[in-house]
Amino acid sequence: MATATTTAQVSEAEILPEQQTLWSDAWRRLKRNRLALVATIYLVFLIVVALVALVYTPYRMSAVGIAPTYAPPSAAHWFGADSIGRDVLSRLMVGAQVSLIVGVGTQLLVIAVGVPIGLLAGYYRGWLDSVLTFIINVFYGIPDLLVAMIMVFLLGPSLTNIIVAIVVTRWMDMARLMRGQTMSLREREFIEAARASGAKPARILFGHIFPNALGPIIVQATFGVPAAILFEAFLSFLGVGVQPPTPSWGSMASDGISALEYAPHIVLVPSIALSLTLLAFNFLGDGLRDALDPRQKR
Amino acid sequence: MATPILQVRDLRTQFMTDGGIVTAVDGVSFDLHQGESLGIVGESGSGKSVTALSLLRLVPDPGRVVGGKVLFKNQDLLQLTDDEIREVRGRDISMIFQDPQSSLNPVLRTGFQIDEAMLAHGRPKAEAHARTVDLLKQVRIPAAESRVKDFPHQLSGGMRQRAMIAMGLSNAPQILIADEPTTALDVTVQAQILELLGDLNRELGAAVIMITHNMGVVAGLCTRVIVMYAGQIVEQGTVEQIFANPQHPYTWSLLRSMPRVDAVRHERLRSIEGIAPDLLHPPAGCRFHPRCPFRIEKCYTDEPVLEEHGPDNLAACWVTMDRARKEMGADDLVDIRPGAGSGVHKGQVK
Amino acid sequence: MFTRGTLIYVSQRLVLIVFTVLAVSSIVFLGIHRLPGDALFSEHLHGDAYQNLLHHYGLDQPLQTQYWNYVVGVVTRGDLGESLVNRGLKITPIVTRELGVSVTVGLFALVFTVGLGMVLGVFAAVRQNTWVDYLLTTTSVIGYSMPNFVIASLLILVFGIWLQNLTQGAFFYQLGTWTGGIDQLWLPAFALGFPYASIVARLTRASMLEVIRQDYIRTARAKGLRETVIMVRHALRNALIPVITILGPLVMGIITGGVVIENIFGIPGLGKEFAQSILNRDYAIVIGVFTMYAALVGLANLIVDLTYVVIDPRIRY
Repeated sequence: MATATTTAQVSEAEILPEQQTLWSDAWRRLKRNRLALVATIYLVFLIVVALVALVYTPYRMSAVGIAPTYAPPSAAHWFGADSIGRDVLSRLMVGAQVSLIVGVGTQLLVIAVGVPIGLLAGYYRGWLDSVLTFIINVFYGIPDLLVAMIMVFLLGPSLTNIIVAIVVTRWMDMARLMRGQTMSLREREFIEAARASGAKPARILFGHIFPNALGPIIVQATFGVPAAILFEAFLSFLGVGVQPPTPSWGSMASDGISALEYAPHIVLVPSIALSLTLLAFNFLGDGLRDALDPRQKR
Repeated sequence: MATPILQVRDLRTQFMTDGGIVTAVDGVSFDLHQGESLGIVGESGSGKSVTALSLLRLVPDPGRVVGGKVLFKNQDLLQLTDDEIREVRGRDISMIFQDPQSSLNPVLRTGFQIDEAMLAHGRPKAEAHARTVDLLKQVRIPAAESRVKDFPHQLSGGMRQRAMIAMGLSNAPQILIADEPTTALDVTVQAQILELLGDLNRELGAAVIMITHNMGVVAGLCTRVIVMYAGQIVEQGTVEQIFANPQHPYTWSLLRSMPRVDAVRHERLRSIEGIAPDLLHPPAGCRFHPRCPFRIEKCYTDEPVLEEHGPDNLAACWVTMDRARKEMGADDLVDIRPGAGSGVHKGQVK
Repeated sequence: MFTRGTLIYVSQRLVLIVFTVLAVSSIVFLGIHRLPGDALFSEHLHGDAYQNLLHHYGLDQPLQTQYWNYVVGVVTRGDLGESLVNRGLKITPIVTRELGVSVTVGLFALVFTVGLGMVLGVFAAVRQNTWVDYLLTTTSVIGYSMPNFVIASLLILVFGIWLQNLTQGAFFYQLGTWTGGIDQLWLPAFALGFPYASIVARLTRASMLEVIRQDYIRTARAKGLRETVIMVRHALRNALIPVITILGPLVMGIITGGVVIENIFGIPGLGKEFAQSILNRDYAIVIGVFTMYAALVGLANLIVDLTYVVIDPRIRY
């Protein structure tokens, strides 16, 4: 028994320094990536805006008629007003909250669902893997947006339901990634060592394999955030997303389409905000991937 | 002797790598005569393959032929336009490569890939197609008529290399360059392919340049041999001369590392000690000196040039094996570690 | 290329598609009918009129009978029922017509996506590390970060409004009056395909860069082939193999993205009908359209799998 404990300790002691250098190396590489850095600054700014919007917006985001309808951008209303005279900037700020909550909330849930499934499939293989892989493939075969629309339609359009609908149609990438990671990690020496020292499967899965796959998980989640934000924007654009008066960038753009000719700012402002946010997350994801896995070059 | 069909003069090819410039081929000169079979031998990294690729300007990025001449029928291949060199490739000079698995395009039918070599040089489609079947028969592929429709993955390794040879022969070239054509194949298949190449060389009269690291291949196929080390030619001569009386210690050790049927039972097979030099920072003096059993002080500082050491033999060595035999007891040497055979400069090693 | 095995494979997949379609429509059918109230609920009808209507749609029968009648209708007559909002309107003919429209737009977008993506990708690869390459790489990152409705809005703004004003109506993109002509197809197809074209371009570039270092490209050069022949016949064919692996997600993206695009451009396809009937709470049409979509997705994926065989002779079913 004493020897077994020693082996486990040794194996952990071997992991830790390696992990530390991995993270600090990654941080160094990320700092050198200018695009990723700019993206990070933008995203921090966006988070600050979303937080500020909790306590302060220039105008009440649902206040109707505080400006002339379709008013173009001006000093009083930086981004103009919409079709019923609401302040676009205020709505944009609240919309940032919606986007961030959906993006981050979805990915946290996706990790909660996808990681355990991937761990199980990759670690136990055999029939369990076959079943889980089959389920994953079935979900890949469904048209995600349509199913999400029906789900929101059936469950009712609340923010929570939207997040649930996105998770249900988009958890597979994470599970597949985790399955692959687990399959390769379980053959590594330190996992063998942990197994030989009698560690329970749960401890091996969450104590050893999961931490070692954290890099790819973070990268995958970072790419998942813009995908989820986009998804919500689609739902809201089609009218089955966040319900009025809560603004979402998607529904704001959708509202403005009919007035595109004489008040293009109503569409353009949320569209640009959305595009910039997606771009920033994609750049950050690219940067993180290059930083965390220097071997895998594009 | 008649004018050589190919004259290579002071060929230099460099690779611009992140670490600096690597001169993979460094001043190589040789002649190739009509119908002759020339072997170019050396370890991997000796520059023999890059030499072959340089002749047809097929060196991959970041490599470039930076100097020298390749005279074929009185024209310098290195000076031709892209369109002109394309006309030479595959028609006058063709090439077959090491790994037939990766050298054939996996998504195109084998027969088409051979047709294509002829279509590229203006042969009509029907004629090319008929000739492909003939060629496949000539390289002894059974059921050639049906094999043309196969994709490369449906053929065995040996058959793929035969198809590559058929492709190389399709325009009846004057020179066929074979770059390690048997390395990736089974031993029995190797022998068949070599036999085939020998027969074709004799029957068709095409000159063959055989690039290999295997002295045995040279012995079976070639009339003349060039030995390359670290981008330079260190020795050249006839096969008989090179095998019977090698002058360069590198050639000598290559031959000693060859398994022999007639070897005395307890004689161990000796590999060459040390590793091939880093071409980013080649050693000063003779490039072989760090691994040479017979090095003398001069070898550390002065670069030897190719000099005649007998009828039709050139070697670039300050010592030469004649002297090493006489003065350093090379024939009795069991230990061939660097500097081992030296009796000349004991105590003077830097 | 296609063998007996392929035929068997295709028939198996077709059977699977039929079952998937049935399963999907059943789930939606049962899901929707568990909802409180129904489509007629909103019409504030009472008494006999309401009962008559319930009877007309068979909604007064137990759920399992309703379901059975529905399945029998779908399987034997291809009958998806009747609209709950527009009384007497049969769903099947409408949805079939709309499917045609959606497929036209989708195919156009797909051809555009793959075509443009590949051309840009090859171009960037051949001109690696030049300004062309950097420009294309950057554009493609921006491209896949732009939602299709943003691209659509910009296109309408530029081609439908600004250029129209600029040219006094000589260059005019007409919205809403669908005839299905090419002049009405290309903007939606561009908006729908551009994000995916960016992805295809990135992938083609990476895969071309990988392929042009392969030995068989050297063989092709040694044969004396022309550079364009080498690139198109020898490199591109192989570079396509990794690209077609995203064809599945890509087709799916075009099908779902079409829902958004059809709504912006007012194209009378399945997607517009789907969003509209969800907002109208016309359950019958929602189920019908979704069934059509399930069939479309199944068939599209089958076709994608068959293109693998065409592109890569090493794949057999």
